[in-house]
Amino acid sequence: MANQALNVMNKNNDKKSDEFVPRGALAFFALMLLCFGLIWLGMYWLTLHRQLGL
Amino acid sequence: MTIDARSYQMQPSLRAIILIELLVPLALLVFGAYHGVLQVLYRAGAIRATSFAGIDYYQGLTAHGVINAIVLTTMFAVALGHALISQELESPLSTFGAGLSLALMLLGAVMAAAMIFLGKATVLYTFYPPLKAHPIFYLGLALFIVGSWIALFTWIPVYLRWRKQHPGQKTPLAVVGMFATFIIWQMATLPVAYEVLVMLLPWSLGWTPGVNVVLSRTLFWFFGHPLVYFWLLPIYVLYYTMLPRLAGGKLFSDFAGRVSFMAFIVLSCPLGLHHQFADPGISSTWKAVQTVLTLMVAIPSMLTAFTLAASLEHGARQRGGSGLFGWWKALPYFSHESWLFPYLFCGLVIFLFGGVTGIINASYAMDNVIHNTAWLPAHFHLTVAGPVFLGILGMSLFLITGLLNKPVAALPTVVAIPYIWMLGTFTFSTGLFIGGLRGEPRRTNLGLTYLNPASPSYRPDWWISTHIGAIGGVIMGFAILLYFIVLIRSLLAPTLKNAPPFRIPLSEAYHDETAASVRNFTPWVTVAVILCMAAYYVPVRDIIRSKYQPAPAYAPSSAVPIANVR
Amino acid sequence: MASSSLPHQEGVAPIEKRVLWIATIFTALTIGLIAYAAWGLGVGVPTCMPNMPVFKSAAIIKHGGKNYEIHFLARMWRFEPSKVVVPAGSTLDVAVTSKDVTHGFQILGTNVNLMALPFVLTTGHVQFNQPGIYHIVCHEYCGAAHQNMNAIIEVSSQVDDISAEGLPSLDAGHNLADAKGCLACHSVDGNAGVGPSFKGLWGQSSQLADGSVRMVDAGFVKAMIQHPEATPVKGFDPVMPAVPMTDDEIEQLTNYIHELQ
Repeated sequence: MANQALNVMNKNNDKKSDEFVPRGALAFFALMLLCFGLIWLGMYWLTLHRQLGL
Repeated sequence: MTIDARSYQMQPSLRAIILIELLVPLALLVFGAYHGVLQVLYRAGAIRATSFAGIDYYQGLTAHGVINAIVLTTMFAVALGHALISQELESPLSTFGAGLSLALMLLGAVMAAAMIFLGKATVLYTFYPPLKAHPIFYLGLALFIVGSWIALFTWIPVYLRWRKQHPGQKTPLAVVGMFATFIIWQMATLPVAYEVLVMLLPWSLGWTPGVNVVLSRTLFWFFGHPLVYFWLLPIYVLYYTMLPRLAGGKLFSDFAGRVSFMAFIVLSCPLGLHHQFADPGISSTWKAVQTVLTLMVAIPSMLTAFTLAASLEHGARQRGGSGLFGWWKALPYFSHESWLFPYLFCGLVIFLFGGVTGIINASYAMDNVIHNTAWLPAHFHLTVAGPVFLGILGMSLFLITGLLNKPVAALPTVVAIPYIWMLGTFTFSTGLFIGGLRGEPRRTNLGLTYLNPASPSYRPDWWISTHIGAIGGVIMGFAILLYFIVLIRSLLAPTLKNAPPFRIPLSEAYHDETAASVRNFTPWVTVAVILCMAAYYVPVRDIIRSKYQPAPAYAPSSAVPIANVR
Repeated sequence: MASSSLPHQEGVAPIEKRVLWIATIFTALTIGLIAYAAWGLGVGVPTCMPNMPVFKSAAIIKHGGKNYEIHFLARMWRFEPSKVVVPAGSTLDVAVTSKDVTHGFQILGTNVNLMALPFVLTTGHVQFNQPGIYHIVCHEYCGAAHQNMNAIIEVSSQVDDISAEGLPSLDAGHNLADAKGCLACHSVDGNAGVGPSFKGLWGQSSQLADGSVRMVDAGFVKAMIQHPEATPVKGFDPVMPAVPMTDDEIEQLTNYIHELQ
């Protein structure tokens, strides 16, 4: 039974076009870093503002 | 396809030990959570007194920190390690070792807790000298930590034997993660054990006239930063090895998991100075060096975020999700069968905000804006009280009901709890972020002065932030109350008959590469030790050379120093 | 572990390499901006001052032309000085140390955010262009009255020189009250804190928690010093510890309180 299961799974791996590429995760990741960057820059500005009045 | 039939079954003694390690801290959490709710009420000025129902504010705050952030987190990590390592390496563990570990942790916890409740250790969980606690408090903490070390010592021979018997085979990822956790813990706790046993305990007994405050703070924070990875990494183990399967998919990359754990081994420890940016006695150059290292440790967390998102996407698409963002809708947010999913998922959502605020805190001079303000508890309630706490709650319920063959009661409530908790922490932290930016201090009984209209120190501009925080805290308390109800109902439910032997269902990997670089701990641990020494040698040497005057002891209640016994 | 049943796929997925690159660039940008702020703009953190002598009492030092140096002493549970008034446009070098335990020192609205440790010096620098009240808060738990510990810097366009309140006194009675810890909770400026202010206290009718009334005289002062738990005063938390003092010291303190009538 293990062999049959292995064959079923291996069939999928032969087709490169079937490979799972997590584009959605990449989009989320980019969006996450963008938001992080904006929040971080906000605090960066606040730090400079409080010391230098910028 | 998973091969579930295994010859190994968990030995009854280990089952008992794990159950105690999960249930005792949850019982203590009743008080730990109760005083969390009280704190937001004090801070909003709803309680304007030094104490409530016999417990002083700062005493309760000490208990809240020690119970929630030391006892609960450590005992859970040990229990999870016992469960995963014995299962994945298919081996019993030394009952003597696991039992001794538990006994020391329990003894230490009881000693520390007793001193706290007797009012003899109102020093907060950081126990900064020269505020002094009772010697039994320090001894209890030391015993507790030694108990946690012994857990690792019982696992090592099992692991080494497994490697010998399975040459060429990858160590199961869950095992790698738990070992990474406890290797980090071992490195982290050595300096604080020195601080407690060599510096603070003799001083608290009156044997030495004073303590080097700069050195003790530096040793504490050498420990204090990897402490947060000790909290996080067991949850990362759940994220990498359980979450994908709960989502209906596979872990996107096994290699990413291993690399992350190894990167944490290297980068967890040489960073503690970022908790001491405002301290004297440490050069700004070395504070800057450790800032760079701290920002580098953000990278394995970022890789983790991507890998988990990819794994979730895999599961979501298996479940029929589509589109660049639309697939998020297909995840099992309220599924009763995968009820553990929201505990892990909501933790991740909360962690997004915990992570970015952590990066802010570590960004050198940016810390000046928020150090020791309410911003800090706002940050760490989105980390230790976010993914870590939810993971502990969910996995404890999973392990307890599984090991006792009990059903999980009230499943609709069970899946709702993480969302209620998330609402609570977001509300709480919003209030405290705003308050922190307005200068509201942390660790302060605001109700007596700053939020008391009758006080000359009254700050009406802190009213809104403390009240938002209070609403959040009450919601969090409500979520925990629901959890305790579910837990007790599950424990009281009739045992399931004919339940299959308990196994923790772990995920398969989609990309399952064999990479030699992550197959052994030794090179990574070696680099970690060298890096720690490189990052700390000069600062510690300078502290010792500066020969700071030893500071005499004070009790929290008096400005007159405690006279020495001898 | 189940993964051993899957065929191994070689190499790190290209998408993961992309992710690592993005993360590294993000981190590098962050480090770069921090470095610019620190070395380009002088926005940094306290550093160690190994050769600076640590002062034992608070002081104001004028360096001419609205440049001032303030030595703040943090102690349970107040700052000395407790109030400083400076002209707008002043630059302040602040140095902080602690007399006893670890305290915090933050001038709200500025980047001066320091830890005050006993026998160690922490320094900060701030320029006050905007008039206003700037609160100083102790933000590190330092004992029972931590929440009472704060100070004020008032920046005013109406003054042209610095002045301060709450600096150390030369009065022997005052210093005895300080050494015995009384001033940790009792002010001498008329403002009640954890305990009533000594100023104006003598001869008052003090209402006790049980409703009875006692006059503040020598006998009452002695009773409070030796057995404070016997006579809790209404409106104040009953936290006063018994203070071990000789009869001479009690007499000296009683005279001091009488002086502040």
